[in-house]
Amino acid sequence: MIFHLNMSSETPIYVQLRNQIVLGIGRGDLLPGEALPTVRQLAEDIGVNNMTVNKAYQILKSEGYIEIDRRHGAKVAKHQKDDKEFEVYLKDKMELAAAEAKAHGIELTQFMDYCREAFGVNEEA
Amino acid sequence: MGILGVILAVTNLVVVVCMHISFRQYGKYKEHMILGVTLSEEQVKDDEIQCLLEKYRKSFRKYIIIGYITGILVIIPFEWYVSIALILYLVWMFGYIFLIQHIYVKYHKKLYAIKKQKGYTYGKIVNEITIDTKLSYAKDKMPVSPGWFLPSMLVFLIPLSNKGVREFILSNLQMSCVFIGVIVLVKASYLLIYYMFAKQRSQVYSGNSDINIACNRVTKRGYSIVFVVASFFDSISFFMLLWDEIAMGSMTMVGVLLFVVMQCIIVMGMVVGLIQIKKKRESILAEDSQERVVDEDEFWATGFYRNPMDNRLLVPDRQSDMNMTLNMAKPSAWIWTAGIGIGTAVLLLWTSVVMLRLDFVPVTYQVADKFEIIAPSYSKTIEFDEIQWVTLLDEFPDIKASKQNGAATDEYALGRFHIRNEGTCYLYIYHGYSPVLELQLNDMKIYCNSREDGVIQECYQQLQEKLSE
Repeated sequence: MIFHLNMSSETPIYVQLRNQIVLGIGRGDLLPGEALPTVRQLAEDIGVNNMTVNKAYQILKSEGYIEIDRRHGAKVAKHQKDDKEFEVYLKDKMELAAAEAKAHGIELTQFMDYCREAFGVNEEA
Repeated sequence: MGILGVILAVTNLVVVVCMHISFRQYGKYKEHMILGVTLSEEQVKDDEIQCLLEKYRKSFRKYIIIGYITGILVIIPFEWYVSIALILYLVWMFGYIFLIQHIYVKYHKKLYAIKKQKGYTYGKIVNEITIDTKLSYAKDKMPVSPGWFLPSMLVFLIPLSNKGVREFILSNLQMSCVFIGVIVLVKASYLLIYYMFAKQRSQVYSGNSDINIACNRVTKRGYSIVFVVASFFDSISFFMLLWDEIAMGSMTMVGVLLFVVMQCIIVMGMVVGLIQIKKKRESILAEDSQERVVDEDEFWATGFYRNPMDNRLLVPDRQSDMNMTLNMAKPSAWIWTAGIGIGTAVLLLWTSVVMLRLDFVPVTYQVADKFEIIAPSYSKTIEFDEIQWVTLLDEFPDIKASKQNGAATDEYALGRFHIRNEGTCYLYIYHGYSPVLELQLNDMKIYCNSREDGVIQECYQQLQEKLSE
């Protein structure tokens, strides 16, 4: 997967890195079980401290997106977590996104189009 | 001209040849760039740009020819004074590199200004870092193993199996330590450069990970092989020099020349290797449909890298990725530049003063309550009870003395030397002058003479008187 990090952005690098990997998994650019670079390799290529990458990897691990093995390094998790906690988190996010859309005058159909686009679905099923 | 003159003449030619090859490449359209400015092939055909490029090529050709001629001419004063010739050589070397760099930067800035003025854009203007996860994952397997450096280090163990070599090292411990220290430092530098290139940021050339891996593998594997091979041949050249020193008792003209030629071949080999790697990478990218053209011109506008969004201090030069350059947006880059600049200037100034003193300050002798030899950098005081006998020779004896801590030119030999089977001696000898005063001390011999008539004879008489008291 190829992704970009904006070094002058106000969003911290570890957050950008976490978001890019989640986006890659969601889009299918990163497949379940696919090996990820080690903390050192990624830190060398981004040009940041190992701690920054480690922080992103620990967040991704705690969220269940990746698995970290001492011998084999980091991999995309084969099965993503399917828990209630995530559902609550997602509902909160969607509620906020829907409220912001309404406040900006976006119609439900348009909002649904955006959702489909984000899901990679172009036409109504 | 002597060994030193030949070494410097060859070094000068190698410098000019390297600059010739490198800066001629910069004036050719390669990897979407010409003179360090990102442009499309169509944009380069613009009349104004073509006119500027022609001017660059003309100017560059003129200064390269001047370089070849002056590089040889600057060595001529070696016939008379080594110090003046060395100072001239250093001024030439730094001045010439600065001049060629200045011509490049001047035309680079002009081309960038034309690009801006005409509103030419080509490629993606980046203010972000691109990561290819598959590429980063594969990066460690790209360079050859550092274990390949072992043969270049083990070469030096071969002569140690010889008893004569071990004895030579032990009897010339100080010089041997300096020699071994230099070898260790050179080998460590090769390893350091290897690691710097192995660990540097992977380059994303394309939207296709396989192409990125192939290009980076060609670059990193190619460079690591170049460093391993260069290190091995470097060891062989040092080995030959060491062998020459041991077999002949001191470095010979042939030995030193072989060493210099070998070093030149290594440098040229590295340049050829670099060009081949670049060509191979270009051929891979030529077949790529997703090539990523990146416009980083803004960060190189002054001819030097200045990117506040890049955390790295050392970055690969965009013209030649075998060169490293500093990111001038970081304050530490200015500290390093100033430190290296001032350090080099102080070192050169000190060397120049030492060399000038050796050439122009004569050795003088004083016989009072001690025998004092006042010489530039190598003064010595001798107590009378240390002296076993003194004698006056018509000329300097035909002995082969190898330098330990001293200065030796075609004109003079000053400082500490080593005579095979006799041990350490001190020489204060101006070649072609007589008589020569020979002093036998408890543990060494000293040979002195003077350019002035009568000085040595007077000294001899005074010493005789003191010793008979």
